[in-house]
Amino acid sequence: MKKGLILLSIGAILLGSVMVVSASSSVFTTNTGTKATKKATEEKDLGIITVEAHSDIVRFYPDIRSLTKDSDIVIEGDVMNASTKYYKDRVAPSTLSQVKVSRVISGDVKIGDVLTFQETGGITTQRYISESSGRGKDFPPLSEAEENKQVDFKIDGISAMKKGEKVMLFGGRYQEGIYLIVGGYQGKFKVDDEQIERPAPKGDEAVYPALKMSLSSLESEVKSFKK
Amino acid sequence: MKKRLSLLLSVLALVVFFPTESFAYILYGHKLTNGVGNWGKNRQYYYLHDSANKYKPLIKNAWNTWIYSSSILSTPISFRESTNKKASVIEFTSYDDSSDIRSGVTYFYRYKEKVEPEKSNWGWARIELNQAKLKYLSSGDQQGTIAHEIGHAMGLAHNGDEFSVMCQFAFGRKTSRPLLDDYKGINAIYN
Repeated sequence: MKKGLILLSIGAILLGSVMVVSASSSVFTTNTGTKATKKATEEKDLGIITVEAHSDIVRFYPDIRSLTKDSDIVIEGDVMNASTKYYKDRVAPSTLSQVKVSRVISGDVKIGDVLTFQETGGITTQRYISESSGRGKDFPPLSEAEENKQVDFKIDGISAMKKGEKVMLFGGRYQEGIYLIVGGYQGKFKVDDEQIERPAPKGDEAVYPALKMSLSSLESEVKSFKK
Repeated sequence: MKKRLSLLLSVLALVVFFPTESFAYILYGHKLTNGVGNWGKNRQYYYLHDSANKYKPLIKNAWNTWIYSSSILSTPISFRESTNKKASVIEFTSYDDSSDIRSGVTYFYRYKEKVEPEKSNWGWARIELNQAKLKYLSSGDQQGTIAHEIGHAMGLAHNGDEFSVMCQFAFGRKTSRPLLDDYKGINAIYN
């Protein structure tokens, strides 16, 4: 009888531990704000503010096969220039990036070509954010210094390309002389030495494969799917 | 001996299968400054720009899925449409851009400055709906996109749970309305 009671007590302790762990995991979900505030301060110190929009995408590219299937070109390149473009009736700015091709994995382009890619998001100013809000007159005006502050307008935590970056892109022809990245940010990879990896959208890290691999593995995969 | 073994197994089974509280929802850590209303006591307002008028019935239905909980859990959410933009805390607009893979986007503002919802509270939010992508979705899925964006505007982040309206459509969302975990998320923020 006593042994039974001991076993029951052990069970109760185990059960309690599980419930405590479960409760602390829910606390964790709300704790990101503190860390984020620190990061925000650091970014403000550097003179650039980050703002973010969160979206619902309609098509998922989980692997190299699906990206290859919908791409006209697959290239590695250097971002030579990035300029911001605005569309009437859109809150988010767009970025037009000139990318100099340094490696052609697939497609009818040559090394040295400079291609233009368009993507949503990019560098803008507080003045634009204020004007495009449609509520500028409802609130006190910003100082000139505040209006001129630069803003990195990210979508789902991912920045548009910036000058000086080395990238690997799956591109699709859009308009005359302009390419889009396949799947928005999904066909955009960072290149570090000979390794590539795509940044994950915020909150989707658990379901979004980073597809980290070597450039040579990528090249052989793309070529096998293009056959 | 057998008795003790079965007792031990029962305790283990209890630990493993006992329905302990767990959450799929993910919060930004911040919220709409003045809350989401308090059902039966006070309410908040949303505003439709002309461009979003074509989605008016779907927007209303999407709101109703948040306001009238389908589960045993109720939330304080109380929202109604207003024609006074200034009085609203969530605005809806639409655009038509085939180059954009998004069907809906939510922006967060404090006064007239945009903010990151992970870093500070927001006074109001704007939801943009992309006609070019929504037109390929069923009306149920269109409503799901709107409910998803409303979830963002109230403080819920993406999660990978297919049975949560906060899962992205592309990642296999299987519901067009909030479910238990989504309501729990709202209550964790505003209760």
